[in-house]
Amino acid sequence: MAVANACFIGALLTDLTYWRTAEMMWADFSAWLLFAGLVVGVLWVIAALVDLFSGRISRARGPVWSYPLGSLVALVVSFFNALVHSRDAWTSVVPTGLTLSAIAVVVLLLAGLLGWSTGRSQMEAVE
Amino acid sequence: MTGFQFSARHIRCAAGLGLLCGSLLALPAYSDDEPDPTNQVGPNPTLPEPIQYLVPPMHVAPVVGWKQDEKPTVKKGLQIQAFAKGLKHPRSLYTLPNGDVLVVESVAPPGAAIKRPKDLIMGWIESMATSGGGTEGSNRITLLRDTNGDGVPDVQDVFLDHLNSPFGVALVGNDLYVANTDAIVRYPYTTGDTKITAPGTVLTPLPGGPIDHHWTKSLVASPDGSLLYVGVGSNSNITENGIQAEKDRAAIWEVDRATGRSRIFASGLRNPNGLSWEPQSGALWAVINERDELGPNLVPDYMTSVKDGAFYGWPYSYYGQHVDPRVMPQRPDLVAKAIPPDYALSSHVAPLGLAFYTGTNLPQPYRNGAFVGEHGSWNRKQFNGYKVVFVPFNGGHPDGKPQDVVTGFLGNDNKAHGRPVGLALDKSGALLIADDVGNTVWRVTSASP
Repeated sequence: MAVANACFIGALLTDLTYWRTAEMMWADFSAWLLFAGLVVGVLWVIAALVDLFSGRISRARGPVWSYPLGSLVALVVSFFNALVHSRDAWTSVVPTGLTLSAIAVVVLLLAGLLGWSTGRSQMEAVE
Repeated sequence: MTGFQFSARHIRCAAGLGLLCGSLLALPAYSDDEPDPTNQVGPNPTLPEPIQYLVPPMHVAPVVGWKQDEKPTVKKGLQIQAFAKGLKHPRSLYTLPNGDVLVVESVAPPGAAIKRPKDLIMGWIESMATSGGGTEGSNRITLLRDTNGDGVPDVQDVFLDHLNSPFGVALVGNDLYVANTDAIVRYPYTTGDTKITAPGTVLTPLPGGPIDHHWTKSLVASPDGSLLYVGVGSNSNITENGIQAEKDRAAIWEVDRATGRSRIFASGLRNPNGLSWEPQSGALWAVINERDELGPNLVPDYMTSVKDGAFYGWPYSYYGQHVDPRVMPQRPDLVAKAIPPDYALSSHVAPLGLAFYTGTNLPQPYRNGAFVGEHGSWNRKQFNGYKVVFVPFNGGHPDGKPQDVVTGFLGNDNKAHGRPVGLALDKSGALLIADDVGNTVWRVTSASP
C-alpha cells in the first residue's frame, strides 16, 4: 500500500505543478500516477482480504486499523479522481482533480498520524 | 515552472472546494433524457450550459457493413444505387472534368504515442467505430469511369497508390494536387489518364505527425486556379496535447499555387472539411466538427462561410464568446474577436462532406443548396447524424432547416451498415457519397429521369 499511497502523494505534487504552470505534461503525470496507484491499490486490497480471511492477521480492534482504513478511503477517492483526470486539459485538474488529490493526501496524513500517535504499527508486517 | 505559493488560505479554499465537489460527484455518469438535438440547427442554435462528466456519454455504433442488396434509404423522388463496392475505406471523392471519379481511400496515420491512460481506452473505442473490415491496401486513389452514364463503372482501377493518409484532391490545368496528411503533393495529369506513375512533387508541407489527431486535409482550388485552400484540423479535442501541438492548426490555409507559400486564411476552426465554393455568392464554405465532452448537446457542429482573417473561437470559445473552461491560459483578447458561424448542424453529427448542388439531375427542390455528409456521433447516448442532409440556400445563404435526404446508414438495431463521409457530384449531376466503413460509393439520382 505504501506504493499506491506514494503515487497518490505524487499526484498531488504533479497536480500542484500543473495548477501553477498549465503545462499538460504534469496533468498527464498525475493521470498515470493515479492509474498506477489504483492498480497497485486494488492488488493490495485483494491481498489484504486474503490475509484477513485466512487469519494471517488478527482482527484487532482500535487504532491499528487507522492506516489501512485511511488507505482504503484514499483509494476510493483516487478512483473518482482518476475519472476527473480523464477529462481534457485544465478542468481535468483544476479545481476538482486537485481537490480530490489533496483530500486523499490529507486522509493519508491523518490516518498515519493517528496510527503513529497510538504507537501501534503491526500492520506494517503484512504489506 | 513557477514556484509554489501554497498558503493556509489555499488549503482552506481547497477544503471548501472538497465539499463542493462531493456534491458534484453525486451526479450520474450520464442522463438518459438527453434533450432533443433537432432544435440545434440553423443560425441560432440553443446552447445549454456545459456539463463536465466523470464518464462522458459515449455510444458507438458497431459496424456490421452492408449485405448484398442492402442500401441506404432516400427521400421520395430519389433513388440510390451502389456505384462501386469493395473499396478500402473511401473517405472523399473528386470528379475530373472528363467525368472520371476519383475515390480517395484513406486511413488514419499510425497511432500517436499514448500520453495518458485515457488514450488507451479511447483508442479501443475508436477501433470499434471504424472496424469496417481490413484497411490494408488503403491510402490510395481509385478511378471510376462510367462511359455511358448508366451508374455502373466500366473502369475501376488504382489511379495513385502508396499515399500518406490522403483526403483532398484538386485539379488545376494539368496539375493534380493531393492533400496528404503531411503535405500537398502535385502530380502531372493528362485528360483520360487512368493511372499516375510519375513521382509527386511536394508543393507545401502541412502539419502532420507525431500526434495528428485530426488528420483529414480537405482541399479546394480558387476559381481562377491561382490559390489552394486546405483545411488543417486541430491536434486535440481541446488542447489536451498542449497548446504547442496546435501551431498553425485548427485553421484553413491559403496556399499560393505558383510558389507554395502559405498563410492562415481563417482560424479557430477545430476541424474544417468539405471546403467548397458557394455558387451564388462565390464565398468559401466549410463544415466544421466542434469540440466534445461538454455534454450531449454541446457543441453543435456547423457549416459556415469562411471569411478572410476571421477567428471562429477554437480552442478558447465556441459560437462566438462562449468561453470553454478547459483551456488555460485563457485568451480574452482572442475571445473578443471570435465570430459565430453561419449555420448549426446539431451536436456531434460529425459533418465531413459538403457539396453545393450545381447539377440538373436531381429534382427542383435540390437545385439551390448544399448536401452535407454527417459521419455520426459517439459523444452522446442517442445517435445523431449518420445521414446525408440537404440545406436549402437562397441568395447565397442557408434558407430553412436541414432535410434528411439519405438515411439508413444506421440500422434499426443501432448497428452501422455504413457511415457517410465525403460528397461529390458526378458529371451527370448525380450525388456521390463516400461510405468509409461500408466500403462503398453510393450514387443518388432522380427517381424519374
